[in-house]
Amino acid sequence: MIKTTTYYLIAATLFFVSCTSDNGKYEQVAVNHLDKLSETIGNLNSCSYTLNTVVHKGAESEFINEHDVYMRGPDKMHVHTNGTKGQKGFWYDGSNFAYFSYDKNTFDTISATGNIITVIDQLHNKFGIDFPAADFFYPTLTDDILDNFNEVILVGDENIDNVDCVVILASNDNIVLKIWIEKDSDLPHKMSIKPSDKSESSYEAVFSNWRINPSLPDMLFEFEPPANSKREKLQPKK
Amino acid sequence: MKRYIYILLTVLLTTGISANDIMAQRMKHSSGGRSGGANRSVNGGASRSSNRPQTTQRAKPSTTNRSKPATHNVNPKTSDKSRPSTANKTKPSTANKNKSGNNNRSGNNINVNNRKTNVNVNNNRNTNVNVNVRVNTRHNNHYYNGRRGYSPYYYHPYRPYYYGPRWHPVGFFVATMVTTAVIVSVNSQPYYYDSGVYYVEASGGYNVVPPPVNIVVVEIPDDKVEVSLNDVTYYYYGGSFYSKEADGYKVIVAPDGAIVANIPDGAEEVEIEDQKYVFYNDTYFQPITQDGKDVYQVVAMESAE
Repeated sequence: MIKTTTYYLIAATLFFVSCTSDNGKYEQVAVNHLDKLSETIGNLNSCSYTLNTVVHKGAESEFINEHDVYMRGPDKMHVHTNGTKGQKGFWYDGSNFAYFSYDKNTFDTISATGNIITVIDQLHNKFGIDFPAADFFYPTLTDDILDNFNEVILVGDENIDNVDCVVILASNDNIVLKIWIEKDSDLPHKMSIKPSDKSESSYEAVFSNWRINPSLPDMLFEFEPPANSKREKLQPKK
Repeated sequence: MKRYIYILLTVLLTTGISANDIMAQRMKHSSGGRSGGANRSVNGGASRSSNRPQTTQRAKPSTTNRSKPATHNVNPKTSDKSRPSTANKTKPSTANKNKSGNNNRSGNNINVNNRKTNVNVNNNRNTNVNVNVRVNTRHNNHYYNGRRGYSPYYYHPYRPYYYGPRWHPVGFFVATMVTTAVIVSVNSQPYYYDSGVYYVEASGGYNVVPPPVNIVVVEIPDDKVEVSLNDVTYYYYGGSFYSKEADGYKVIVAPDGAIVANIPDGAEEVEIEDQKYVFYNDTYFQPITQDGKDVYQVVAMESAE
């Protein structure tokens, strides 16, 4: 099933057709914070967190989702998503990726190998599946931000939900990305992406319930199709 | 030189699975992580390019090393001088959350000097909302743009309006002040002002504070909107109201009955008598609908006792 909207077209165009100038403004202190965040994530052997996302498509539409994410290095992942577009689950156990729609009672499984990021990348490229806030988990986070934005600066400090954070702002001609990094843990706390034209479209994600290196059992990442569920093949993106 | 041009519009052709999170995985990434052998990391470990663009070092936030921005409106207006000074830079503001008794907000009155002005600096992000209030029903006899009483309550969720990267909510801390800031003062209390945001110096930086009533600034951002109420035109930006003066724009108490479309980040919903209001900058906004659009109307509250 293909769902393409005008909003997505505009938003993605703005974001992806961005460029970087060698004359960009990059504050070392901001880069250091991003490096520390990336290093912290890179040192995790396992983690779990909840991510609450709000997507506004202009003033009219709003998509609210809550994602529970579990990862165990190098190749185990489970994501449970519930929200505006229904309830879904994703499992990756190191050899198979499974998708299940709780609302439709449909599933599909795909043979997949590699570490978590490799599989996220493959699924994104082949099926257009975007994992919530996956950008943070790419090992090259800082370099990717430097490549994508003309300006990366430290805005200052902010307390969100009683969590002290530093705020990093990255911007190019089209997009303003803000990242809140928890001071105590160097983990991401929040991110927002807004077009710089101040339209009412936006993406916002807030992390909570961080668990660092928890013991996550194998069965958490294994999927067994429920009885009476039907296989519905994931459609490659065109 | 442009190094990257992304042509990933194909990502738009997403499956239903991803539609909600289309903006979640946005950047072009240079690798899918390292395979890592015995590496048990969730992503193979962070990596850094050896060929990064040049970065700048941030100067220490020392006021002695930084050139002071231009100063404007250092002297408050004559009418302000007669007001008792309540400035207290160190004590967070907890007073005046209860709006009864302090405001003369009726009709066309834009004279806010009879209000017990409080310019205490609230460095505490956590707003102390006095929910022990109720809508001032006496205002039902007032006329707002020819219509008697407030508009009917019509709930819609509070969505913070984004005023751009230079706007910050009350309580926000910045390490350095932008060079475009100017100093404005009222009651001998200086404020740094930039793009509709007011700052005071704090340890190691600057805190965003509520716009001080009666302060005059030369300009407010172009995003300001005109708000007409009972044939008087006000200006609204970032949750605050201004009146046009000969020498600029003066911060005023939110005019009772004024209708606005946007409330910035930093407000909170409070429930009063089974209805939800948005509280921001000492003002209660009642969600209403007007011409099919979700908007807010400033309402006066009085003590529940």
